[in-house]
Amino acid sequence: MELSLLLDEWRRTPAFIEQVTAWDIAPARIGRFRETPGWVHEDLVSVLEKKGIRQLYSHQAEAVEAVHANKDVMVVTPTASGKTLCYNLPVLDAISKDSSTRALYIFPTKALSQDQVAELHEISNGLRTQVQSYTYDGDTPMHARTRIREAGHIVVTNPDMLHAALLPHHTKWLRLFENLKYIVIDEAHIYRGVFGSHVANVIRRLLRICAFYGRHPQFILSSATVANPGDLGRELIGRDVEVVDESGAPEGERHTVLYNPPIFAPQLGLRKSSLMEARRIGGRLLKEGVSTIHFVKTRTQVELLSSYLKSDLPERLRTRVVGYRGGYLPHERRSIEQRLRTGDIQGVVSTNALELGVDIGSLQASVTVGYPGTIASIRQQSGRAGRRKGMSLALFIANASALDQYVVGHPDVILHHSPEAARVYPENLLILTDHLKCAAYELPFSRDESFGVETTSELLDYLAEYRVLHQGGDGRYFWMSDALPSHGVSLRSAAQDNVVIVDQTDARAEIIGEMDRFSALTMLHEEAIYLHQSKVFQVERLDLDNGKAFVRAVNVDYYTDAELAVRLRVLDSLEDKDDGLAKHHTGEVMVNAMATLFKKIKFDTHENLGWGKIHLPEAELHTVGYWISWPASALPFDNEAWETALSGAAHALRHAASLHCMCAVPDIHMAVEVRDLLTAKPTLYLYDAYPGGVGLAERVFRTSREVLATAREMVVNCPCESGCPSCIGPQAQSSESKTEGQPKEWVARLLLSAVGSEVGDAHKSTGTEGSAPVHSTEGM
Amino acid sequence: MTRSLSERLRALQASVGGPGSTPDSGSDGTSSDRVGSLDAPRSIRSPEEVEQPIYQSKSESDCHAEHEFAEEGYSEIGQGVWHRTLRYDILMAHGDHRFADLCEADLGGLLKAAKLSDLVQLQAQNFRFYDTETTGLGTGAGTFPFLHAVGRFEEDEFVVHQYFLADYAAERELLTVMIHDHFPDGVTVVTFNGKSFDWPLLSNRLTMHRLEAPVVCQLDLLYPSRRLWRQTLTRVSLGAVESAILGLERLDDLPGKEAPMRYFEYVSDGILSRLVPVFDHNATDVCSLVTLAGHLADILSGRTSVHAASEWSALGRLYDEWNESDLALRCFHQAVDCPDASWREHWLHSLHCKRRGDVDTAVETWLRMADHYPWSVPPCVELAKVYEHRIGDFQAALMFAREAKNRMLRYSRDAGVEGNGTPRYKGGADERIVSALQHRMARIERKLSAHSAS
Repeated sequence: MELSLLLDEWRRTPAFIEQVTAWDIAPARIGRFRETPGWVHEDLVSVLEKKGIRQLYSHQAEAVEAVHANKDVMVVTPTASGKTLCYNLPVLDAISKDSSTRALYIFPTKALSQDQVAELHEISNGLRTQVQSYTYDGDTPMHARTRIREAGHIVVTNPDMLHAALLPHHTKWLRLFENLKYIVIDEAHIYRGVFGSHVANVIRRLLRICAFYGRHPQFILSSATVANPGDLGRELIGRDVEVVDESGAPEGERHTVLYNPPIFAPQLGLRKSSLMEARRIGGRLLKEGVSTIHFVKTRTQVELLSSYLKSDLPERLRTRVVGYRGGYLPHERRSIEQRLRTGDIQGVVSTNALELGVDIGSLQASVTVGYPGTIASIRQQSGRAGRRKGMSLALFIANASALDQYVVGHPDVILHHSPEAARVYPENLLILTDHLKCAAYELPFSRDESFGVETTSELLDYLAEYRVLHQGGDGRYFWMSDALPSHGVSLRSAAQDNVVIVDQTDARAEIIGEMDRFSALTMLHEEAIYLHQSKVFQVERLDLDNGKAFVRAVNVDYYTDAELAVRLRVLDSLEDKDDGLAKHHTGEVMVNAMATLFKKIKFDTHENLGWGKIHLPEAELHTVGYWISWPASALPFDNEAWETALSGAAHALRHAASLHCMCAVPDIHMAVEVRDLLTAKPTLYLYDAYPGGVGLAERVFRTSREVLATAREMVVNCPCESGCPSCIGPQAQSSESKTEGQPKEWVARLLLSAVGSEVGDAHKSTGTEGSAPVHSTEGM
Repeated sequence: MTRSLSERLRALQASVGGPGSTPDSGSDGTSSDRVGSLDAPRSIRSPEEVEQPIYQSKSESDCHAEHEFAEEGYSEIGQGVWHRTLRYDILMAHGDHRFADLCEADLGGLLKAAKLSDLVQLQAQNFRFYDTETTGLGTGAGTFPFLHAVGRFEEDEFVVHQYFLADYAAERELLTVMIHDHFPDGVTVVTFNGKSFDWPLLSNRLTMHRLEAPVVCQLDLLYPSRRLWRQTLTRVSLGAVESAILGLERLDDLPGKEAPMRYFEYVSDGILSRLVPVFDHNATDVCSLVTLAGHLADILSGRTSVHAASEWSALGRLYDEWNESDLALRCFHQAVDCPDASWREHWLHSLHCKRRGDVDTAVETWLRMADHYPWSVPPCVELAKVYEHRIGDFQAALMFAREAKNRMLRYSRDAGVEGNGTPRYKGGADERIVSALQHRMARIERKLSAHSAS
């Protein structure tokens, strides 16, 4: 059966269509073409013509013209719109015209680098100039490295290699740096949060070295759709970028369907499993001969769903369905990619490993099972289906989580306006200082040099004071330690080493997750119940010194809830504003947390089954927070109601914030005080889980109205009656509150009360003015 | 409420760093890994104190420093660059050898062992013995030599020029002078591990200052030393070679890894005295390069004989590589005749004989080995091969193949306990060898039955 017929059938099936929250049909679009610019080298023109490219898509033309006009460019167009040509064309053109030209390509993963080099070879083979392009990563053999340094026109690497191998050894890369004309950064939206903040600093170091060799290379970036491509580009490379985001590539008719599994227990708001729905719907697609890619969230789910699908399919189709995930051997993955391209494989179940640009050709349908963490991911996953022509289907099947439910209820965020802003915060003091050290190792700092921030000289003095740097007779600071600073800095991990979670249920122990130390105190203490992919584990031992928590699968009907004695102290309120009945702040906070004891709570009834003691040291976190405080009189709540409302609102806000800040939920922590130590007011805190902050809480402060609105919608639209763990988080049971109404209402009222009808004034307090002026807004 | 940047940073570092948030002035600087991570400031000084450039004017402390340098024989040849020369009569002994030995040596073998072409100018006068003390063991752009020593023959003296970088700012000048005075294109730079450390580091520095690197030949003594003494020395370092081979005992020598710390102390506190042992250590290193080069040249040209069996074997293998088969054979003979000859010497000797086509000697050796070393498998395998293919005695071949397999099974777990470089079959190799032997045995049995049938 053809896809169109199958879709018609589904549309006529009430049981299906009733669960569909949105069915969007984007009509087929013909491509918009432009002439290949006249300045492109004739060799390149003829190679492209041989490949059948006689004209460029409008966005390609726009991008290459901007590059030709010496601008830094950011290309934001959908998957499979021919993004790579936007940078390969100017780069190969420049090399054809002057063979000493060099370019550096930065990809987030090794697999993408290899793909890219293969594609480059395909084009460059036809050129008269011998273009040498190489990947340079951890797998590059030693004997090949010298040759790459000397002769590589295009060096394809990743940020980690750049940080640890290229930059500290820049003198050996003389040839590259002296002739570097273009820096290409693909999948730029991956560089956000802590990782992005590191990468932005690595780029500062890179540019500093380029300047030393007298170069000012141009940037060509590409990114998936985010709300703020221009900001992201600027924050990442420190320069303004020209954004090209109107795709001219042709597209076939495209159906986007958002599907919410039916509720089977209305009081509890319980829905059918998304994986089982995927088994049913995906199985049907495959049976009808529609080539389909399924995206699931974990490696285990890959195995589960692919075995379900296989067992449901007729014999002849079984070998044409495969799983694909990290942990498979490289050659296995290459072979799967190859078979996907040729159409030999009809169905694949993958983690997000296939989400980024690995070339697998085009499939007819994509099924995303559960919110993959960002909307950009959903869009990239859907982009895997339907490329240039023919009808395609992108199906999203929601989980029960608050974020899933929000997304499935707001088709607009997937289809048109993503609220996600990818942010980097290179000014995080710890990250900045780490890279300042690396930079000083690479080239001494002169007294008046600035490393992205005005306070550079202050930081240099700080490092000199600690005898990491030394100021020479000419005033320059140079590295004064026998250690290699880049060794101590990993771009991908948090400041403190995370705790890895080791499952030792089976003879072969397996790492199933990771958690920051701060959260580990309450989630991974001994005897804690750890829930992972709806499997229940118990922590047997927490080894904080070595960063490991050992867990074992257990069959129990309770979970644990640790009491964390949190002392949250505001160190510095940097900015505040009034909005609604509340006052909103952002600033530096210090959090001291000590896990004291834990309760065992029965799953369904929430009965307290007993408790135990926790013996763990106190943890301390200096970070940036966002907090809202209300006058106690703002709402007619008693203490219990305040407590419930505050913690419920914090739970919802945390999830909403993760959506707007394009980060994971655990990247933001929360705390509530019914009577705040300082102000005695009911107060709700959100703060970055990373020491020094990475701009998340600050972003929530700036866009508080949007985030609060999203949080409120998550609560209000939840199908539960009085508030459930999904929308307002786990609640202390048997509330004594005499306040009228249900917890769910209280939370919604509280969230609404923090948004006024007009925009509140923002009062900025700079460092020298001291703390912010206090406005008497109580009782408004 | 607003806090200063450094206050904030300090609090942040303290909160993530755990220990070391308090000043630890008693640190001896051996914990080098912690220095980079900022958690253990060795001592805290006020920023004002640090900001004073050290060489801005001729203050009192400068005069004091000058005096200190002068006492060590240094003179300032540019602001922040100090130079001294140490002169040795070439007839002077350094350990068991004289500097002059090298001038009188036949250098052909040494150059061959270092894989240098014949085009290199052979006079020792053209050699530059080079060694550095650096701020670390990395070879990245931020590691630099703070002390360079260049040794060379000047008439009847061996002269060591030491260049000390008292101020980082002066590096460019130091390099310019040193390259100009000692490294014209075409000289041969003699080092110990310089090919992968000292010289690349110097090239880095030249690149950092955008200076041209001279075109030189590299004679790195590490490689021939390793060939000769890997079996006898646990670690082939210059120090180990000195004491074991060159008869040089250093008194009160400074462990090389302490040098960076002492230099850092000097640049921050200006105390020169703690660097004096580093200067001496560096000078001694360069002197040892001369006697080591001389000794190696003598060994490789056959002027000096070696003593240990493993040295003879190593020589034999070198000659073999140079296609000097007769010389090689003589060395392998010498090796097995040594009182300390081990399994390995006999084995190498037998293989050489086999390669030369001297099957009789080889078989004789293998028989003796199979007898002497009842755990040893390879001689039995070789015997099985020879009896099967060359001699055509299938019975004997089968016997040795069987013996090899038995030994393999019996001794595989602890094969090679005798040490002396006996090949040790590990893990999976066991099975592969056993199955190869089984294959061989089956073939021999087939041949045997075919033979008896005919």
